[in-house]
Amino acid sequence: MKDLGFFLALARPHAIWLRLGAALAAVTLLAGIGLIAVSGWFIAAAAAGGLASALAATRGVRAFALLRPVSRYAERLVTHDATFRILARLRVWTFERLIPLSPGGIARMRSGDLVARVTGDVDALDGLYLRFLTPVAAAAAGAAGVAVLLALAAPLALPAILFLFLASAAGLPVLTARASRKAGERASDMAALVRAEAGDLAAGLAELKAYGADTRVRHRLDEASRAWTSAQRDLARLTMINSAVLALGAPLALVTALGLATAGGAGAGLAVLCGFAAFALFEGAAPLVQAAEGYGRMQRSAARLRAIAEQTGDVVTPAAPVAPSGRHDVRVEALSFAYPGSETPALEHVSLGLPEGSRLALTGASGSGKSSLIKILMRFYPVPAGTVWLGGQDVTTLDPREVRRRFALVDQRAELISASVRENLRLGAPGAEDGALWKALELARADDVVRALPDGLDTWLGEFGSALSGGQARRIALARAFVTGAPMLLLDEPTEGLDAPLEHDFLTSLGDWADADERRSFLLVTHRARVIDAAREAIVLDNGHIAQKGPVASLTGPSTAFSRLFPEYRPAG
Amino acid sequence: MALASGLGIAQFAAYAGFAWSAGQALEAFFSGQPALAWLGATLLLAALRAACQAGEIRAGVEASTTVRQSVREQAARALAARGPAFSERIDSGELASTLTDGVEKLDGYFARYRPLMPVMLGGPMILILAAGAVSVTGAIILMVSAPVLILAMALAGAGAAAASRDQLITLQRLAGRFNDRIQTLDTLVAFNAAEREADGLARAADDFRVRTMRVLRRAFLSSLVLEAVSALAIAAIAIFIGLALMDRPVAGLGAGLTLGEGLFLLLLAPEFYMPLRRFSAAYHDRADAEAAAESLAPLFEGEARDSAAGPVRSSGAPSIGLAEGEVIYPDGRRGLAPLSFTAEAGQITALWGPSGCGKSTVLKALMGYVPLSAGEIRINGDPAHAPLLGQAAWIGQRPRLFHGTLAQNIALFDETIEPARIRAAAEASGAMGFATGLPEGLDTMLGERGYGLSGGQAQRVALARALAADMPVLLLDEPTAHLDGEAEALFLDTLTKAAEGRTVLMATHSPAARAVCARIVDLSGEEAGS
Repeated sequence: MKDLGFFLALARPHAIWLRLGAALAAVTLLAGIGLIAVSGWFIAAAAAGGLASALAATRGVRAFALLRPVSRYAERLVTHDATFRILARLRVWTFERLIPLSPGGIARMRSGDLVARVTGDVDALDGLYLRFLTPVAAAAAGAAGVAVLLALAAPLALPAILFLFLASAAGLPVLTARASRKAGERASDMAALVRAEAGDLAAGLAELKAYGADTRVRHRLDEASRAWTSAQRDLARLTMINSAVLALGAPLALVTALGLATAGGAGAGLAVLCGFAAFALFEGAAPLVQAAEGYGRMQRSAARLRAIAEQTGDVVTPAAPVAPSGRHDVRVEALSFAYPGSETPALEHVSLGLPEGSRLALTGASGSGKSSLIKILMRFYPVPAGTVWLGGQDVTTLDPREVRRRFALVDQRAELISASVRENLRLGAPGAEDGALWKALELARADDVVRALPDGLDTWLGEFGSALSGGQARRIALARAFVTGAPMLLLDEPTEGLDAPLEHDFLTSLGDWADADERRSFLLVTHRARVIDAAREAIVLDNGHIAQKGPVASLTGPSTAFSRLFPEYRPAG
Repeated sequence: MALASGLGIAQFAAYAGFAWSAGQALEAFFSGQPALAWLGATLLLAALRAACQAGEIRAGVEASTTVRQSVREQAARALAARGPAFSERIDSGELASTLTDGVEKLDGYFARYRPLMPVMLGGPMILILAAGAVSVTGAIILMVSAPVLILAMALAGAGAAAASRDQLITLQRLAGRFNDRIQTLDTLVAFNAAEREADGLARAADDFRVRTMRVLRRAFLSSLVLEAVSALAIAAIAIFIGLALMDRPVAGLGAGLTLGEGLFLLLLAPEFYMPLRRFSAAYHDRADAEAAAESLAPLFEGEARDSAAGPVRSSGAPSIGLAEGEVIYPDGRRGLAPLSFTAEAGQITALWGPSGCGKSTVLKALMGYVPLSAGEIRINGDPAHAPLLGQAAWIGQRPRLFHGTLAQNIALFDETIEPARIRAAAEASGAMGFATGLPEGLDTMLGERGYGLSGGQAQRVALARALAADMPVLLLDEPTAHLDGEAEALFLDTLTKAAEGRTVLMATHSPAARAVCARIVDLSGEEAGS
């Protein structure tokens, strides 16, 4: 409940809308009660012949009949509007909490699964306000209204009806929430298992079929699916019991209120009024029970989101960052680094220098620590031991954003966001003009790619847009790095998965970019021999240590770390 | 579902009985006659109705779970039958989510929407008959209100339906944008674009709200109509009965109505609109089911060509090859230009050439994953009647680590393979080398929700699979494409040892892999076309 309360509080800026929605929901329920109760009273009193003013009664019936649909319509508009406002706030809030955790902190949380869950959790909380707050307010107002009526007309019936209603609208939901927790957890675990097995079947089909194992994985999937549906059945059993209890509760309230009202001396008209009011009040209990059925899921989502939000990032922005110098020479001194949660260091006592204009390749077996240097330079991870100097300044004294302004990253994923080509290119330079974009595209040999797209720069990429091939995406990512105007490129396995001609084009573009200004420099992490030729110097890392360092041509030779990595390497030219 | 519908209709009969006995009980009560029997009947019938309602839910859930279970099973079977040539073209995450969430989307339709259809007609019909038995006028008020209601809802709903389709697309885009920005957060941070994007998300969400509300203002009109007509009909019935009871019947109708009958009619009225109310709440269930059917359709479209396992394994490793084998895909693309070659028994043969020249297609054709458009497969020089499926092990570029233990990953869940054989395969493939360092050795959980392995380690697991299955033929599709020099050398070294006595065909463009092959089939001259 504490976690849900936290997210309810998050909606405070929009409280006025929520209050208005709740008030309208209360009016709707009360109008419904009024309509049926006054109708009953009118009929009973008419039959008893004791109706002083038939006109007033018919007017009352008509008024409630008109009020109810109108207030219901207004309520739905107001609560939906409020929900969308809060939904926007919740998304932005979550996103802003994730920013400082990225990427070091998120990687530590076992990435993929968790990131996928965040979006599911946010979706699960979408209905929190609409499904919890409004029905609670309406039920409370309805109960209060009926209580006032009973207190005046049939005080004897008051405790019994309040008890019946509280049992249905509060007791039943609480029991339901408790009972649904276990089955709900089992259902979501089993859903994840079904997803995993289905993913195995889809992604591993070539292997599975070769060994005749596709049948076995299908059986595992069927089994998980059966366990899932059985948990769902348990949840449905609760729904079933709840609906039966509610269906019985309303008539029971009708009979009780009538009987006790008459016992208290009320006339036929008043007794029917009380009975029908108690009967109609139960309309307010059903949404609460429904909300309780989803309580467990929301509670878990809220707890998970809050847990993420309470994490702090590893890289701290200094309170008073130093103004950056105009230079971008890098010096790394005695840097040691281990990934969070890992005991083996990725880098141990590494020192190297990257003066302006340098072109350095960093190579080594996988797991040798090559990529971690780029991640530290990007300020994705802190500098735990040693010092990294940028333009003569300790990077930990600079604003991380200033550091990232000096470096532009190109990695093997060449991740493009789901947006237009133009927005993708302007990611690091929001104000860049089309002319600058085309120049960068030409330099990256991506201008033909973009020209061939259906809407040129306006073509939508990603999930809802055109798909690009790996090579095309890589070239656009390179152009994106060029557009930023950063004087230094950090490239992490940028040609992974490209074949020789595409790789050659990519490296030529990189060379052209560096040639255009002698102060430009790049750091290139790779395990491909051909890529190393694009650099002037290379460093070979072995288990976090620098094994070799120097001009590329000087590294070859029998039984060196370099020749172990690249037995086939022949220097270019 | 028929049971759900039957119980759904039965509860209206029970409700009519409840309303009647409640009315009679009240009348007896106020006229000072014994009311206990009627009161008992009232509660009994209320209980009966509650039981019918619970039963209806239960039957709907049963129907829906049975359907979903069977659809999921059939979809998985169809996916397996269609094979890798099909699954490769679709993102595996998308396929997994179709089998998981896609199938779930059928729930509302089978649990609620479908069973509701007969109830929509049967329930109100029972109530009209019951009302008609007491007062023709009351029945007429209900009967007249129904078509007016349906017409008005249809008119209000038609405009909203079109608008809400656009709406759904906008919502998907908004959710998609949020998911995308979280997934690409690293990149956004790298380009200092994350904070800017937070503003962008807020603007997009607000824009979405404004647009959605415009649609909802119209969409909610149909529910406004429903509420208004039902409230006014209740009011009309109440006023009609009241005036009749006061001996001031409107236009002489309803004379002689008793109090019990009047209250009966009043209690019937709100229930009359219940099925329509439920229908308008369940309306999106149909749209969901249609969307699910759409995402499942590719799995069931056309004929599945289930490539069955070939004949019983011949003893010893055979020579394999193609004779003028050619592959043209259904969409007209050429996957493989006519090719003839033989991979000799017991040797390692390379399929050599740049990416896109058809190397992988050769392997898939040999396995029967893609059909040959012309030519034939040769085994030991003779035309083969069936592809190599069942005789050949398969190692792809990035072997999948399945959700299970390392041992299960090697045996691929085949429980007839003894632990000793799994162990031996792990030793021979070099997988034991890293397995001893894992928290629980061969029993360590791997896969999406378990321990991750490096590319080189995963390849050794794949090799162990081939050895545990003891297949006479090994087909490898660029097994070292994602390995660095050292890992590649290690893998090739293990492969050459483990492959002894087996026929190995390896598609590759790596010089180091080429170096360990006894024979080279060069495809670089071949035109694959595209």
